[in-house]
Amino acid sequence: MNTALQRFKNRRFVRVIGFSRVILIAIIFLMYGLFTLLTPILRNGSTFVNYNRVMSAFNYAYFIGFMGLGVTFVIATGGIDFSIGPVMFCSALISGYCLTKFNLPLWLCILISIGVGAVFGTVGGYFVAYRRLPSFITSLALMQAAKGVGSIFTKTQSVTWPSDNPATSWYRNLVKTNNIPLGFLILIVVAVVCAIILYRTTAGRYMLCIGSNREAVRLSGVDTRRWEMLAYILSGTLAGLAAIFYVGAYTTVQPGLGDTFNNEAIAACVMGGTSMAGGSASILGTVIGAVIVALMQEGILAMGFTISYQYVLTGLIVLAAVTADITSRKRRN
Amino acid sequence: MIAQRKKMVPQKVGLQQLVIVGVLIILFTFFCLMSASFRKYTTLITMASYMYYIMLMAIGVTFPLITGGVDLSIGTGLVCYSIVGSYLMRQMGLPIGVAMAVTVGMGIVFGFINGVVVAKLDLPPFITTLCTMMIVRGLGSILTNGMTGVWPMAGQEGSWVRDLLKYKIGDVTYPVGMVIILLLVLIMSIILNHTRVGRYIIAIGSNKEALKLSGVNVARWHIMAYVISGFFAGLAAIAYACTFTSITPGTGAGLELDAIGGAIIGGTAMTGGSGSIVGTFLGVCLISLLKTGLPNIGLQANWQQIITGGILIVAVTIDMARRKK
Repeated sequence: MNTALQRFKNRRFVRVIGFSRVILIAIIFLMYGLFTLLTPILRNGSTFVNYNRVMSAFNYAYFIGFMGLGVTFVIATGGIDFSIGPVMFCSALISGYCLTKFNLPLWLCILISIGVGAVFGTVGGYFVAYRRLPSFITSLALMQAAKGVGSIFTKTQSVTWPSDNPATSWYRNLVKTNNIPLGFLILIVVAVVCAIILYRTTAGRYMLCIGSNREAVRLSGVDTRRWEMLAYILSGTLAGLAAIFYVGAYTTVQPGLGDTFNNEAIAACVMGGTSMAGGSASILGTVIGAVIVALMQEGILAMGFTISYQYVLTGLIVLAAVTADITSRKRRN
Repeated sequence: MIAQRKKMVPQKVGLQQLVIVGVLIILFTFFCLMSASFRKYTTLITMASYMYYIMLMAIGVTFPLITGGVDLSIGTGLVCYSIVGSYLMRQMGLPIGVAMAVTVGMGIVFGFINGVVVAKLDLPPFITTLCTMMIVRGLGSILTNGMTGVWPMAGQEGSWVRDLLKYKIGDVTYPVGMVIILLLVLIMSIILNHTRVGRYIIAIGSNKEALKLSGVNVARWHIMAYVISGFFAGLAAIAYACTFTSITPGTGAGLELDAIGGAIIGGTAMTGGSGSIVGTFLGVCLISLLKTGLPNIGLQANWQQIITGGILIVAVTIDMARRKK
């Protein structure tokens, strides 16, 4: 039995994507099977296997995925970013307000959205990297600030992005064009870019090294602050990008919300094998984790439970994933 | 002798606390001069009743902060506990005393869970309490089927709880809750500085390894810090219920930041190992004063969140700068 497992672990594709990622993919299919089985039992007459359900789960996976990819860089440096959810909402609110009230062209508003995210990332990165503030408290403060800025900018009103005007609603095609989930392709492309940045560039190497041994990196003459700050900028920028996909799927954003999403993005990361201790990160894992989070949300709603169950489950999953990571680290030492 | 005594005073109160008292007086005078609506007695009463629950949370969270950890679950926690309390009263017809006991008890239970996970499983406190924050946020609505929690209003049965915080004689309301708060500040100050629990909690924050090597059961006292935090979150839940009466499930995220901000302004180190309850008290006073005063001089209400965020960043920056010295 053990040797069979060993042989499986040594297979080429398993070695390339990692054994734990294979398990995660298996979990996706298991969850899918479970929801398919349980939905008709719990709610008479309804089924889980449904094209719209899959699309709706994908819609959720996109913005969680983009945020997750961003926060993966931050977690790789050993930090954390709690501000991404509200930052995403703030980006969507400000750019949406520019689009609907100031009638700016859509491409500019998309850039504004990404820019707002980048600004929040830069501010957070500055305080963490240059002023040495603990990342969790900095990002919590930024989270409040993002909520406040969003509601001040829109005068505490929700913003609905246009959905019928062809000139100003082509952003929706980024999510879905003629029923083809284009968003998924974009998510994969962005993930590949992130993977290249993290594993193949100096910046990514330094981020991982900062996470595993900051002092060693600093003593070898590297300006750790710059690379650490870059991780937060990437996180904020991707949150700004996530905003476009959020409105692309749901069109309406309300001020003062968004803080449940950062937990889900962080859950996607830690499930995917990115270590909270820093120094090791998996881009592919984050993407798979985002799909799991999205599928879980879809399943919970399909089975007739409220979103509150999602909060509880997300909390438990993060606890379990971090505990597993810490135990395996202890065993290795 | 006199020189010695002079030295004693700032040592006991701390320079930072004296600065806060100064800032408090200056700000208070400033707001009084700038705004006629701020000068009213009722504004002060409102400020006090908005302060109670933050103050209670802050006193509690000072303990995990001193161990070098943090408790993020208190904000959504207090909403969850008070909703469950109201559910017991409204739907199950239990007396208010039982509801209050359950409210505080739930706080203790979740504090204990936090403590065990942090102390025994060695998980980072901020991620542990983030998870419990999520869990209690969902749990409040699950346990009560998503209903809004309603606590007894003035004049209804069980409204004596409100009198504990705000006592009305004739037309004048007295903020008697301040007396309770001051008593708790005194008690917790003594516990922190003059008992074994407090000493060990401080020691965990400053040098956990040394404490472990000297044969102390570190995990036990570490858990204790989170239990204290949970207990005070439970008390804060009651104070919150008295102030707002009806409570929406799933809210409360962000309330913990006011409490944590207050504690850090008051001189509790983010890195652990030092802190004072009196400082926390003054820090929360400062935050409440800003939150009441700034809207009175014309700042919109939705600046509140930015104020919270800004205060937090400033407080931690000051803390880091002081530690570098």
